[in-house]
Order: sequence, then structure tokens, then C-alpha cells
Amino acid sequence: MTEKNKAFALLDPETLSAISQLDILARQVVEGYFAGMHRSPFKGFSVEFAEHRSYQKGDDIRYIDWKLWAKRDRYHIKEFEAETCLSAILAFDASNSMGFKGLSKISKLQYAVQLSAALAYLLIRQRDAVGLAVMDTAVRTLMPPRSTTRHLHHLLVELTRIRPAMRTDLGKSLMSLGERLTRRGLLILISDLWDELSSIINGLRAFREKKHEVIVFHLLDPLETDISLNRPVIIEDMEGGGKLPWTPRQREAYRRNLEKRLDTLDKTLGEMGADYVMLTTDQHHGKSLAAYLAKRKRLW
Amino acid sequence: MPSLSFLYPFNLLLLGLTLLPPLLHLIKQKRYRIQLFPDIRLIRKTEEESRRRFRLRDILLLILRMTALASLALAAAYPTIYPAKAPQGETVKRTVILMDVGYPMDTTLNNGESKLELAKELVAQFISALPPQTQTALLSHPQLAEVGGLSWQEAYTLQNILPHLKSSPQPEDFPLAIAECVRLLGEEGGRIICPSDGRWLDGIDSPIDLGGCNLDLVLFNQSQPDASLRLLSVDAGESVLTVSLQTYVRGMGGSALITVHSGKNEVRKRVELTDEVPQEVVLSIAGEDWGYAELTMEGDSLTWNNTVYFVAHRPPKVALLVPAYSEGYNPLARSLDLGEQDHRYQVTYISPHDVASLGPDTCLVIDEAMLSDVGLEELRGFLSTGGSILLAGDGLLQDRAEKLLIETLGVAATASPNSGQFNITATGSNPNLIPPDFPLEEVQVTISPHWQGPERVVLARLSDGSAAVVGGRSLLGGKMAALLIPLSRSYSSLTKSMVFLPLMDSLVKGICWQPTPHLQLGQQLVERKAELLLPQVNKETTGTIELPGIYHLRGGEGKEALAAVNVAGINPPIGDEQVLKLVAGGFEGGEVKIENPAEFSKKSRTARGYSLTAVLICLALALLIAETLFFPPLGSGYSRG
Repeated sequence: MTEKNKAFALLDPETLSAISQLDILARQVVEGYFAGMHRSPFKGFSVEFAEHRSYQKGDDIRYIDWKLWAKRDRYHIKEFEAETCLSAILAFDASNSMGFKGLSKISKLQYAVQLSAALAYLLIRQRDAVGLAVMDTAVRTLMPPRSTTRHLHHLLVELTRIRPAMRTDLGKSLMSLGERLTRRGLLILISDLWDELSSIINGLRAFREKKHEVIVFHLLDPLETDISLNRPVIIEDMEGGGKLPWTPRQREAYRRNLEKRLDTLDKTLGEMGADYVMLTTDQHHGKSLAAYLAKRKRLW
Repeated sequence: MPSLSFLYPFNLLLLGLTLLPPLLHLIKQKRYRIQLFPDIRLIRKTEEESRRRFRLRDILLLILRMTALASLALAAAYPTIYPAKAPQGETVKRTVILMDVGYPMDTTLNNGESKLELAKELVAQFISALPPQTQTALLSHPQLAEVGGLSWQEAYTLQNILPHLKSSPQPEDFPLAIAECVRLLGEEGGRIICPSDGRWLDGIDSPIDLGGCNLDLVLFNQSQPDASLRLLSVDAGESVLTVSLQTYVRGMGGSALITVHSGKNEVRKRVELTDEVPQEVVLSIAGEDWGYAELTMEGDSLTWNNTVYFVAHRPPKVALLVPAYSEGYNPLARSLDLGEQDHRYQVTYISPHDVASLGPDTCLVIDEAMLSDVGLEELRGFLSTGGSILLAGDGLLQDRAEKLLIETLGVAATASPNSGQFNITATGSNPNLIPPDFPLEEVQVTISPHWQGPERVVLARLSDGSAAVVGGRSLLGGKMAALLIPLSRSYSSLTKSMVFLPLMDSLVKGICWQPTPHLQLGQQLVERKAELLLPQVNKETTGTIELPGIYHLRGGEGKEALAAVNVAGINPPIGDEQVLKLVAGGFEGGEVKIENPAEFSKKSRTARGYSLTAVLICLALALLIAETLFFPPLGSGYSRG
């Protein structure tokens, strides 16, 4: 199978079918190059009237509102909402922990790749620009957002090349990525979030402060959500964090602590206006994504 | 303080099973599967929580399991509590040894030793192992008990007495003997060690008062019935040995066949033995100077043998040349007297004229006073035939005798070839004869200043400085030695004879008694030190002498019998019932110990021993139930929620 075929194999018909009727709409204004379906912070000349302003020297006289001049005897220019394309960046966690495959058929990384491919397809299809940032301890790969089909192809190829490596340092990677993104847009973080919570939240908060919209896809293997091992084992950290004995009697405490961590994430991200979506790899990514987008559309 | 002992102490090795739970834990931990996991920070957190929570539980569980296993192991060892009244054996400082010297103790065991000999060895070892300051006494002769003459003795004395103990036909009254031991031990109590064949236990009808003392019975096992054959004497004639034997049988009588072997010859005699009546049998046989006698008895279902080895003493011929007036009290004559010296020499008194007629197998012993009366040519002629001369005296004429020797025989000796093979050692250090404070501790050997011949004839100097000749040499084809001890020194005639007799004995033996190899062999057999397989005898003698199976009986007090012993190997067989009777009713006021608990019969286990075992088993079961109830297994029973 060629690299191209491999790339497009990421877009399976079931996923495409699930998300074909859905769009990713930015909940807030985004800055884009091209006219699109999302509101732009810049006033432009479109079909949807925004406001009047006083005529300034040099303004195009075509936009003078003559009716208002007749009423007030002053020149006013008619301004319209400019519709622009969404500039989204897929922040892809490619640390070692993403290579974990527990009870599911595929690893978290494979799941994230498929999810990213679907998201990229969706965004490109609605003529939005999408980029890719592959991160572990730092940003390893950064593909600037573009909205062309050729770019989708490149992006998919890049996704197929991702291999898990290094430790996780999401906070540092997000900070670094934030500094490199100048235009407001949409950050889609796909990660298992196995890092210090404060570090992750600080990284995401930096995006929010720059008016980026943030969606966090938190991927977990079913075994991570509930370590259902009935025999004692020695658990070894995939990122070199050491080994620890595990006995089934720790199961309940683990579940309790994990729930606490997920609650903290959900609550904190919600407070900062970011979307938090927890996905387990035993769920079909297309259906999960479709469910999330439908929910998001309803809320919009 | 009650003491705890175990019926099956080897089962205490099962206590090692208590290490099983921690070992299993460690082994299983090594075999745990490695599970990769994305991140262990949450697991670390839960592990710390669960460790705090479950540490106490785990420790309790471990202790519980180990205790259960330990209880089972202890139960398997059948612990028994003995309510001891007397102090422990290790702390007892007063010990009386009550030796059974009855005739049955002469019975030969499988290894060829009699029970009495083994008992003596055992007691000797026991005495040597006693801690210092231990008061000891030995009651061996029944008369001592009758007259109440038992008293504390030094261990040194006991060690000297032990080898001389012999079996006695006199009936023994053990209850009386025990009472005498208890009397000596007094109110402080102590320990009575009684090596015995245990036959007297049959006759105990009423309890014996131990007075708080401990009685350790050491019963000797034997695989043969109680029929003994003792050697009384062997008289060696010119060509015939006359062997006197004594037979003894206990518990039965009947026909027995006595066979005496010597060389290739064999003599048999069938005798009728009467129960408990010693019977003397005399048999004559031609052959070697040694041999063995066998007693064969055939009962209804048993056939057994007793064998004794013997060696004949053919006493050397000694021609004694002493002044006629002193024949009755001459020290030489006295020292070689037949009656005193147990037939060691055939002594004849001769006159100086008889020297020429002496044969070469005779040792000529010349008093120094007679040296001037005997012709030197006759002496030389006697030596030339291979005869031996011992010149002995009290030293009064030492200078003259020495000079005479040097001038006559000594000169001749230097002229004749000297074989140089003759050597005598006589230190006179026999501890049985010389008391410890006697000054003869060391014999310094120096050369006489008058002597110019070979160094074989030497002067010995006693520790007080006086000199004595204790040497000899080969001379003119014969042998000659001289023994001259000063008389007029500070020693009394008694102490002088103590030195003189063994020295002279050695000299006479050295110059005229050459044991044949067979005789040496026979001697070794008699002394039971043989490590040889003798094809001529067609009889196996074992290489090592081992102590037989010794049963230590220890029992309880009153009617509460605590234990019994497997006595199947004891002859006559003592059944469990008899032992129980012994333990339960035979003694009062003390403790009769039973050791060797591994041999205990299962039937004789006591209720108290069982009760402790049952308690331990119940404890183990209770612990296991508690584990099931209060410590359910982890790792199951959790739903995924």
C-alpha cells in the first residue's frame, strides 16, 4: 500500500458517513484569510450588515448609506460582518504513553490518528484551514493551517508517520505552540493528558488568553479507566517512571483517584471555556466525534 | 518448673514450614508479570494509600498463617509437659551411680562386649563429663547398701575403681540400694544413675521412695538371651591347655553345647544348665596357646551363641640364684613368687652348680650377692646356648657387681659381635601400683661411668638422684640384663618393691619372654581390641566397638503415667504394661525419666501429651477459620462498576 493509500485509508467510510452532515463551527470569532462560515473580528463587506460608522477620508464611497445621509445630512459608511475561514490546529500528543494498547484493539495513538484524520477532513471539507502540531516533550512537527485538499493529503500522510516517542510534557509543548500561533483560531488537543494537571491547564489557559478556542479530546484505554487485572502484577511506566507492584485491592482506590482527576479536568477546562471530551479507545472514533459535534451544534 | 519435652522431636523440623508463607510471597513476587502502563503516578498514589491501609492486614495475615503452621508442626512433635519436682539434670550437683553388677550383666552383647563392660564405659564417660564440684558416689557392691557404707568419693577414685568392678553372683536388692542412694543424697536430693539390665524391675511389688531424687534408669538392650560364658582360667601344660569356663543362664535351663577351639583342634561337651546356678566346665585341648570357646543353646524357638576368646600364659622359666639363707624373704624371690605374680613365672631355686645344666629357655636371675659364687665360665657357657641372665640386687654391692661384669662379661661382650637388637623400657609408671605422690615421676637415663661397652646396659637415675641399672644387652649369643636398685636410701621396703617389681617384671619379660604372633593375636582378642578378620578362626571380629542400644526410662509420678518406652528389644522382654507399672507405681516422691522418646510406643502416649497436641491442632484450625472469615482473598469480588 502506498503512502497515499495509507493516508486515505484513515478516512473510513463509516466515519465519513457519521460526520458527513456535521460541521465544526467556531463558537467565537476567528481570524481567517478567506471568506468562510465563521465570524471574523474584522468588519468587512459581506451580506450581513453589522453597523454604521462615520465616513473617513479615503473610504470607498460605494458603501456610503445614502438613506441615512438623507435623514441626518452626514456621511455614514455601512459595515458588514466579514465571514472568514476557521484556522484550526490539531495538537497531537505523540508521547510514549499514547502507544499503550490495553483492552482495546488499537492503541491510543492509532485512535488519535484516526480521530485527527476525521477532524482534518471535516475542517477541510468546510473550507477551513487545519494544521498539525505533533508534540511530546516539545513540538516536533508543525504544519501551518491550510484549507486545500492537497494540504489534507499532506496532513494525512504526516499522521501516518507519527510514532510514539519520548516522554510527555504537554505544558511546555502547548506554551511553545501558543507562541508560534499568531492568529486566533481553534486548538484541538488530542492527548491522554498523562502529565501534571497544573502544567496542562496552564498551557491551555495561555491559548484561551489569546482568544483561541480550545477543544480537548482526552483519550484513554479502557484498562486505564479501570485496571481490571485480577492478579498482582508489576506495572512499569512506559515513559520510564519506574515500576510498581499492583494488586487488585488497589483497583477501587485507582478508580476513585482517576475519577477525581477527570472531574478536575472537566471542571477546570469548562471554567476556562474549553470543551473537554473524554473518549475511550473501545468506542468508535467516528461515532464519538459525531456525537460530540451534534452536541456542540445543539449548544451553538 | 514444669518441663516441656517432645515425643517426636524430629518433627520439630516441620517448624521450617513457618517460613513457607514469606518464601511463597517472595517467590511469587519474582514471578509477577510485567504490565506496561502509560503512567504510574496514579498507581503510586493508590499504592501508598493501599500500603498504609493493608500493611497491618498483611502483617496480621502473615502472623496468623505462620502461627497456624507452627502450631501444626508443634502438634506433630507431640509436646508433653512434665511436672518436674526435682531440679534439671544439668544443674544437679549430686550424683550417685548405682551399678548393676549382677551376673546377668556379664552377658555378651552383639559386639562382643559384656553389658557390664559397656556400663563401665558409659559411667566412665559420664564421670569424666561431670561438671566440677559435683559430688559423686558409686554403689556397686550390694554389701555397701546393707551396711549403709556409701559415701561421697573423688572422681579420680571412681575412675580407678571402675575398671576393677566384676560381676558378682551375690543377689542384689535394688530397693535397698536405691534407699541407700537416697539416704546419701539426703534432703537436697540429686540424681541416681542406674545402668542395669532392668531385670530387677520385675520384682518391684511396692513403691520405692525416691525421696525427691531423680532416678535415671539406663537399660541395656541385648539381642541375645541371657546365657553367659565366662572364662575362669587357662592353664598351659607342655602341650595341652586346660580351659576352665563358667556358664550361667537365667530365666530358663536346658541343654547347652560348649565347644573349645584351639588351632585346628576342637573339643565339645554338652552340659545341662540349671536356671541361675553358675556351672563350671573344664576342658582340655591341644593346639595353639590361644583359642576360643563357644556356648550354644537351643531353645524352643531360639538358638544363640556366646563366644569367649582365651590366651594361655606359658610362664617363662626362671632359675633363681639367691643366697640360700634368704630364699624365704629375698626380694627377688618374693617378686617372682608364683602366688603374688599370678602364675607369670615358673620359678625354681638353683645352686651355683646348677647353672651349667640350665636350658636356653630359662632366665637365670642372679642376686648380686651370688655373683662371686658362680663361675664365669659357666655363665659364658649359659649365654652361649642362648640363655638369658638377669643380674639383680639391692645395690649394696653395686660397685663390685658392675666391676665384675665389666671385667668378665663386659670385656667378652666387646669382643663378640653385638646384635644391638635388645632394648628394654621400664619406667615403672603404672598408675595402679605407684601412688601419685611417689617421687618416681621421671627416670633420667645416663651412662654408667664404669661401663665401656655398648649403650644397651645403662644406669637409670631415680628422681632423688640415686642410680639404678635398668638396662640389658645381647651377650655371647644370649642376653643379659642387670637391675640394681639402692636399698639403703630413704625408701621403705614397700616403696622400693613398688619400683622394683615392675622393673624386674619388664626385664624378665624382655629377656626371656618372646610372644609369638599368634599369642599376640590372642592377647588382642582377649583385650577386645582386635580389628582383624581371622581366617584361621573362621570368626568375624568387628572393627569397632559400639555402645549398644541404651534405653533411658523416664516416667511420671504417682499413678499418672506420662510415658512408656518401646522395650521390645530388651531381654527379658518388658512389656508396656510392666513399664507402666514401673512408672506408675514403682517409685514415689521422685521422677523416673524416660529418654529416647522417638522410640515411644504410640499406645503409651499419655493423655496430657495428647491434650497439648489437641490444643495446638485446635489452635491451628481456629486460625485458619479466622483467616477465612476475617481476611477474604483480595482480587475478586470487585465489579467494574
